[in-house]
Amino acid sequence: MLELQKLLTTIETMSEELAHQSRAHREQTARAQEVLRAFAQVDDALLDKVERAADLDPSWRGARPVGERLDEHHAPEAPDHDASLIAVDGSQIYPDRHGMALYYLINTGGIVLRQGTGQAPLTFTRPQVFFREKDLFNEAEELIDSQTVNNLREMAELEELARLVAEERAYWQGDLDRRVVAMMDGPLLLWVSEREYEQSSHAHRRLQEYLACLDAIRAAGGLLVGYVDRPRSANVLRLLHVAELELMAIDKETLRATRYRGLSDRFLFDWLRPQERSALFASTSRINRRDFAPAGHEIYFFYLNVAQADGPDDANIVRVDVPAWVAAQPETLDLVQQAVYRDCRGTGYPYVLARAHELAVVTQQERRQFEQMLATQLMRRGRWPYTSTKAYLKSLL
Amino acid sequence: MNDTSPLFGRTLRTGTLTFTFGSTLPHSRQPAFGELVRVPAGAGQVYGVVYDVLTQDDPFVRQVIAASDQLEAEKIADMRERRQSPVEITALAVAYREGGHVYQRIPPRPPATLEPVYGCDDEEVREVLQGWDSFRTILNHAQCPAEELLAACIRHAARCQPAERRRQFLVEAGRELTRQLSADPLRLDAILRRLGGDQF
Repeated sequence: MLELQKLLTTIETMSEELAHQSRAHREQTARAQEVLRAFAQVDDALLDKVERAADLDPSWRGARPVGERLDEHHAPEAPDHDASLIAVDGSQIYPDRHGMALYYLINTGGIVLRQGTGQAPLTFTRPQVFFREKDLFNEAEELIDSQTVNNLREMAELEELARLVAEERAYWQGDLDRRVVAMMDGPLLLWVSEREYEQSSHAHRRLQEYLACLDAIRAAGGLLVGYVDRPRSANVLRLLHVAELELMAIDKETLRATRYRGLSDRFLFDWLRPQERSALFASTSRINRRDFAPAGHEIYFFYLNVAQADGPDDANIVRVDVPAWVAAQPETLDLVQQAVYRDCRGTGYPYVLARAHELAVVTQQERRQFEQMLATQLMRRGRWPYTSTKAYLKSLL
Repeated sequence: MNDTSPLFGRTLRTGTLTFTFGSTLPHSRQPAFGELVRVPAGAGQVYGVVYDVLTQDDPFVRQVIAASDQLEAEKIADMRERRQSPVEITALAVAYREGGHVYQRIPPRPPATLEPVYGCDDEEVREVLQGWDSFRTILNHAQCPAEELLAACIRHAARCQPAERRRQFLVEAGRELTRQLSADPLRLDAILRRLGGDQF
């Protein structure tokens, strides 16, 4: 029970501080935009600073400019081309030691929308239940945690995406003129903690499987996109901070002393006009430099205004991740930019991603129905299904 | 009765007087207002006349509609054919089949949920709606637009007659209506007006 009257003072303080913070952020953003313009020309001195920062502190998550100017803004001039849009999303039920049975579930949902055909899109769902001991317990014989299930779900999503891209290419009989844009919800870079990377063979296997999926999508001519809605990343702001430092003044301490703390890149680019994208950047994160780049899949990103109305107050700045091989051809990058913008029209978010999410999501009601069906089958086989006392009491509240 | 009849959907809710079924068929293939449909119930069949077609909305549809000037054909087709918001169609139970006989009465028990709902071919329509006992069932149902429904049902039954018999069928239906509604000339007039014209 949340006794709201006990929080009245906190709510007042919180709103006051947030309003103050918001004003401060606006001022900081204006200053950051000035710095962006002041250091707009990308030169060797700037690239040396980025290189030094990334070498000195491998955990530094900055941005390496890929183009010639930081303040580049670009809207494709060529007319829209119809493409096939593919999106996959996933959801899960985590293992619950208080539940009637130990299991976890991963449900992937996907959609293939063929622009220009007038056909209803193809949709599918793929539920998988894991209940065997080998699936449920890790090497230390502990019940796997929610992060592990998330990792497995992420892999299942990418595998489905790779499969769908190959099928779509086959549908068009290998015609490479038909563009196939494969969309994921979220960043394309895999998250692997350094501790996990150093200590777990699973992490390496997961990384290799992930990169193999990227290989497969590339081989099938898929244009892979990671769409990040309302991004909180500040890679370009960290780049600006480094740009202001002298090369030899860059060390771990100065890297952390950024004046842009609390800001996000999306505010930095709120001047982009509808359908315009920012310059292209490469993430300097360790996994990108160490694992993705050597495998030919270095991840680039740009910011894109997917709003319909013009002006900073209406801007809807999102981050779009693409592998380097998608960005290699300007016309391909334009096509991706157009496809994402076109699919966001009206909804402010890619239609295909919204639909993939809708197909993948497992509601509480569906979960209850699944467990009721399981309970019935268990009873038929002489096993009385029961939850823990704690779970039972919670269900009464 | 034909097992190859079109499958319109499956029952969602059923009652003694009406049954509602969900359909994911495209708009053009959904049963029309006044059309006869059939659904298994136990060892027999229940026949109903379609009187309400309801397309549900949800927040996502509303969001997409906000972009209606830029909506692509594929997204419209997706909304109509793929999304899990089926069209709900309600039919008024007017007859049932049991032991090979058709009875124009309220069925003894309603269909169960998730039963398939089929269309009826011309022969079946003629068999089920011959005689005029279902007129009273329709006229007495308070929740449906009875005059409109009865007129649509008669037109549907007329279309299922051989071409040379259609006019005669309508004349006979009109006579029966005149007999049943002799005390309610306004209602009779409303129905007869809806039966007129070449396009029945």
